[in-house]
Parts: sequence; structure tokens; C-alpha cells
Amino acid sequence: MTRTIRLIVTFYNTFIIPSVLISLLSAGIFMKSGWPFFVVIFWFKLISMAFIITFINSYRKKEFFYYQNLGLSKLALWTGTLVVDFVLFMALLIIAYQLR
Amino acid sequence: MKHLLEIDGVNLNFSGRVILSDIYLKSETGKIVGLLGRNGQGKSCLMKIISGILNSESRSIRFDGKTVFDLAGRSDLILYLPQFNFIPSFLTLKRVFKDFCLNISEFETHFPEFIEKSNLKISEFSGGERRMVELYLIIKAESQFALLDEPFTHISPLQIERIKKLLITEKENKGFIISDHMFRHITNIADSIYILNDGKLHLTESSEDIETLGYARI
Repeated sequence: MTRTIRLIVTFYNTFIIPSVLISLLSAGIFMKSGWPFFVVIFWFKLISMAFIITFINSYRKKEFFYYQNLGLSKLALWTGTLVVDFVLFMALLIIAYQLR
Repeated sequence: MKHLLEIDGVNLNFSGRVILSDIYLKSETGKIVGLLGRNGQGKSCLMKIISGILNSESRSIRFDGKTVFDLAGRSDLILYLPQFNFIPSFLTLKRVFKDFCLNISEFETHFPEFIEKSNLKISEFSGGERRMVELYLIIKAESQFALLDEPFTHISPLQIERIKKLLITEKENKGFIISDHMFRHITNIADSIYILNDGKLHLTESSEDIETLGYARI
């Protein structure tokens, strides 16, 4: 289990900067605009994540063999990292809402 | 403990062109299987199908007689060394060995040129050194079987001899399927040799078959 978490964190590190920046930007917009913009922010995050997934799947595809040889399929790897990323995104939105 | 891997009824077509047709291949613990064939005959495709990375029209993959439908991430059953370097370049050698639960000191005993390099990042090693590390990991890591696609490419002759010794030792714990165009190394260590030719897989009975099936001149 420890190894699985370590591997998911390692994989997440490959795109953590753009992903967190997008989440911070979304939280900033949400803090200023509130609920009327929630759907727009949600779709903005979703579409930007789709771009990141496509980019990683193309330019880092060889690295998936590393994780596969350690027992983590591509699907498991993406599921794990996207859950972490979504929780972080939601946490930032909640913090932004409370700071309003 | 001995394990048996059987691959049966593999069919693969690309745009109507038959790549693999009704393939049967068997591997078991304690044996090295050589897989030879001219370029474009589908050796790598077959390895990808066995490891669960590539889908085919039909296939049956059995471990100890039990069919396994999804092999993605089943590193307990099978490991795969692709033709290219696959370790993320930002990881250190020490971290990679930790991930694979292998003892780096044992690796340094086999390959002394890596002593005091455990803190280096993978990107700081040459292509050949990276290949050595990857090969060692796949050969030694815990699993029932390992598929090695062109393991000897980019590796110097002396290192190849050390790798061959390691394979002969490790086959006691694992079944190996190896494909490489440096076929004399394969014929030296393999217990059986298959040749892929025109979509069909042939089990050779003598070294003359390698020539008869149009792979190489002996």
C-alpha cells in the first residue's frame, strides 16, 4: 500500500504544477464571482485536465511501463491521481468560498 | 514452485493484413524460450498481447491452466521489458531499487561499475547503463514470468555475457521469453526456440530450422 501511494505521488508530480495552478486560478475566480460561475469553473477544470491527460499519455507514454511493471495499470494510475487532484480542487474551492 | 504460461489462439490483423494467426506458445519456470523472426513479423506485438498492453481479435492466456482476462498491472504474473528505456528519468537509482523491492548492494556486486552511483538520477546514466538497470530489474523482480524484447541491444559484449549468466541463474525462479536479433546469444541460452514467419509461430527442432524458416544463415 505504501508503495502504491508513493508511485501515485510520483506520477502526480509529473503534472502537479499545471494542475495546481489551474485549481488555484479556479478558486480565485470562485472567490470573486461565487456560485453563478461554479459550472463554468467546473468545466474549465475538467477541460484543462483532459488536455493534461492527453499530453501525459502522448509524451510520457513510455513511463507507463514502469508503473505497469510495479503492478499499477494505466487506468489505476490515472484513477488514483485524478481522485487526489479532484479532492485538492474541491478543498481549494471550499477554502475560497469561506474566505469570501 | 513451477508455473506454466500458455498463450493460445492469438489472432491479430492490422488493416486487413494478418500479423499473427492462431499462435500457440508455452513457457514454464526453469526454461528460457527464444522468440525469433524477421523485422515486422509481429514479435513485439505478440509480447505486448501477452503482457496485456495490446488487444487482439482473439487470445487465451493461461497461468497454471487458469485463464487470465486482464493482465494490465499484474506484475505478480508477468513483467515486460519493452524495446525502449522506460524508467522515469527524474528518479534516482536507489529509489528505483526501492520501488522494485530489490537489494542494490547485490546489483553492485554483479555490476561493480554502478558502485557509488545509487544517488544519481536515471537521466545521468548512459543509454546502455539504463538498459542494464532495466534488464536487471525485470530479471530479478518477483514475478512468475518475464518478457524481454531486445534485451541485448545497446549492451556491450562483456555485459551481455554477465546478463546471460544472470538469466541462467534466475530461470530457476521464473520463465523467460526473449526476443532479440542477436540470435546467437538466444540460441546459446534458450531451452526452446520459436520462429515467427508469415503470421505463424513454428517451434524449431534443430538449428537448421532457423535457416529453413528464412530467419538467418547458420
